[in-house]
Amino acid sequence: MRLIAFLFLAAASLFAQRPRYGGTLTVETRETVHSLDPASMPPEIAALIFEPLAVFDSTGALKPGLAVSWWMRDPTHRRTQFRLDDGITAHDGSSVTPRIAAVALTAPGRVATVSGDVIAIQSTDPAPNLLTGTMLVLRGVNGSVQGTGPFRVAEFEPGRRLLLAAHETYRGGRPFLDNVEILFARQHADQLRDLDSGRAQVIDLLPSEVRRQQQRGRRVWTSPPQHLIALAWKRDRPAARNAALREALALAVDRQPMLQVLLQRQGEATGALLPQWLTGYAFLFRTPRDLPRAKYLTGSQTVPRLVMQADPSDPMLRPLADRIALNARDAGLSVRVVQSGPADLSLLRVPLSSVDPAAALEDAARALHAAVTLETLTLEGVAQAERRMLADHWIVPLFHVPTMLALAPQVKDTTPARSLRWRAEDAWLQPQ
Amino acid sequence: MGVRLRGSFLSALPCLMYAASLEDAARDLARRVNDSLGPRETVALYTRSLDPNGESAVLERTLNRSLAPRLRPPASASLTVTVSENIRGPLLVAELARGEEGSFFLAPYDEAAPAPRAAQSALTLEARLMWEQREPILDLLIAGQQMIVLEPGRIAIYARQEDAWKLRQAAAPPPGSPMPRDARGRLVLEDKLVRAWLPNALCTFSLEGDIALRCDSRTGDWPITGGTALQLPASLVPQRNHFTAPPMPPFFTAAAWNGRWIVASTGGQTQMLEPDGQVVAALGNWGTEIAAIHAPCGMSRFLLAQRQTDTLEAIAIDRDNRPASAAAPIAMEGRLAALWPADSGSAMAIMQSLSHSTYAAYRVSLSCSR
Repeated sequence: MRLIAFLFLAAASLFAQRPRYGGTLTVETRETVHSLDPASMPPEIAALIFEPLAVFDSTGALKPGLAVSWWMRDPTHRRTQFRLDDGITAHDGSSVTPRIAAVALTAPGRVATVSGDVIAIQSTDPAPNLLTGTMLVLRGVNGSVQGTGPFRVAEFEPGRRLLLAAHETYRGGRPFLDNVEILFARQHADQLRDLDSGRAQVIDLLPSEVRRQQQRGRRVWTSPPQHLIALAWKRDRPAARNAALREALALAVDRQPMLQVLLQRQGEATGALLPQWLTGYAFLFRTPRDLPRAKYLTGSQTVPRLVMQADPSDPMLRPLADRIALNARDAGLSVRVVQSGPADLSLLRVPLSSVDPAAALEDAARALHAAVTLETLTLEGVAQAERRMLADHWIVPLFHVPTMLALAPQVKDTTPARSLRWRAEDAWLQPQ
Repeated sequence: MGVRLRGSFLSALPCLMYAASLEDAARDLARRVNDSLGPRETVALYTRSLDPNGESAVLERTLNRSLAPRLRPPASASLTVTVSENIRGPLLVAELARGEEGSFFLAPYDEAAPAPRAAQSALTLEARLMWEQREPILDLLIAGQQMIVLEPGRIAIYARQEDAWKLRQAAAPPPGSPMPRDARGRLVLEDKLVRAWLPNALCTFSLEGDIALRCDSRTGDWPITGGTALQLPASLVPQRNHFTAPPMPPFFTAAAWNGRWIVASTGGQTQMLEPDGQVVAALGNWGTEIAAIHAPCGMSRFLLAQRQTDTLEAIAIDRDNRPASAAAPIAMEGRLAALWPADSGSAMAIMQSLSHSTYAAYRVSLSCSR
């Protein structure tokens, strides 16, 4: 029995064909990259160049990455030991030995040592996510940066363009594509134009564009709903410390019209931080709109004018922010939407980059500047922690939305279902 | 604001491994609910499923039985048990509500996937599931009471014990050049000797006694077409997923056909070729996997191919070289990762399920109904 109804792959003709080697894929995105530090890159780009020590597969199970075996006997999670896989080569073709890896993994707050073929990392702070959260970055004496991933950096124009070339001796198999060219900071209108003209083969897609692209015969790749759209109050603002106001706004928001119209049913309304497909319990966090109670909460006091900030670089957020301001007015709250400057609360889109519920909750807490205490890392422990985080309406989850890409007809891939990123290393260009 | 973390991270992950049945999970849930209730507390039980087509009869029956003493009216609490699902699989979610207070319990469980159904016709194409696993399968071979599974990094031999396959031994070919993406592999049995072709090695071993792999980095010609009189000396292009056999064009798979070759070329077309490479007929786009098998009635020969998504077909070619379906296609959901002739009357189809991240090997054959 499979309950999940989301369509993660839309390729009708994919499965009859073996992959073809060769070609250059051009990807356009509104994101921008100014540095080759993987921590400052979108994870889907970092994963093409660098590799972590371990990865979660699409079912949330921990699998080998650069490390083939590991153990953490330290209950404080400050010490991790592992063995590296054989045959790891850097992009310049040199072998990555345990000693070389240990030097690369040593960083402020973290020391890596080698004993035989075992690498041990001692961290100053607890690091339970070290295996999946640490990518191997090899730095040259001249400041150059390289990784071990399926693609190497061929050309880089910060903020503008990144050209990746296939890593010929990648131990996971050379990618099918010869090159991936990524163009940054592209406006949506420009991306659509380039897809139409054939200049680009993969572009970002907004919910309002999905149906049109499908009607034009384009493939639309959709991830699981992995981005959380939520309101987060700023704890240092006087208005935010009013619990009644926070509850009133949470009860005033009407999610369904926004989901139907603004998001074109791409995603799901939610009252949970983590999505239903990941935890299976998100439906427990209900989202009733209770306008009478919201009015009661605001009616008994003088309500200040609230300022809500929506990131101007994210075109999905401003229409939602405007709609939330209208909902708030129905409850007697006055909300002004701004692009920058001091604000009482923010409308945010937070990507969840892990299929492990505990790690995903930590990611969300970090992005929302919230505290989370996970007593245990069982699913029930995560659920309890999530409930505590949402108890006082400092955070109001609104929607979980997917990543959506439009792909030119000749682009094929074997990205697994429920993958959080479209895998360029598993893509190829089918001759037309 | 920071993150405080206690408890064991990686050791918690096995808690997410689902091995219990729905009944076991329901009983476990009932026990935990029971433990959380006071001596005189009773509950009103509701069950539901997030899947509109899902059934909860087993769940209801098990919960009613396990919580019977608690189900007497009037209820002091309500218990709603929902059949849900998360990234790992099915999950029972129980909400226990006492007035404004609530608590919840979670119990994952396991569920087997159904096998594909064969269509009904005079000539019937059938697919029988032989094996399923998470790791990629390149080829699979049954030799009496033993099964050999060829994986990119390992050869595993299973022995039949009490209606189940148990791993007898596994051996890894010596590491060589990196395995290409979309690796090819082939198993052939000659008496009790197994030959395993991999992109970077040809390994041989006997099925008798302990398995001792003898591997050579020179793979030579691959046995593309099985035991036919007409052989095609094909070599796998290094670090690629297709073959060359001059004067044929580069191809993914090929089948012998009445002294000629049916070839799924890398150019995207399936062609009928003379042994000297001359094109006899262009048959269209049949995908990249084709294999030839015999039907037991009349020993007619047919081609297997996946001309349409999620289906496998048996195709006959008439005297005018026109292809036509010879039997109702069968549904085979997923990506056809490999199709090799197993013997004259069957082929081994390796299916990759991207939704379940599994590989399954099916023996595909034709049967003749009267």
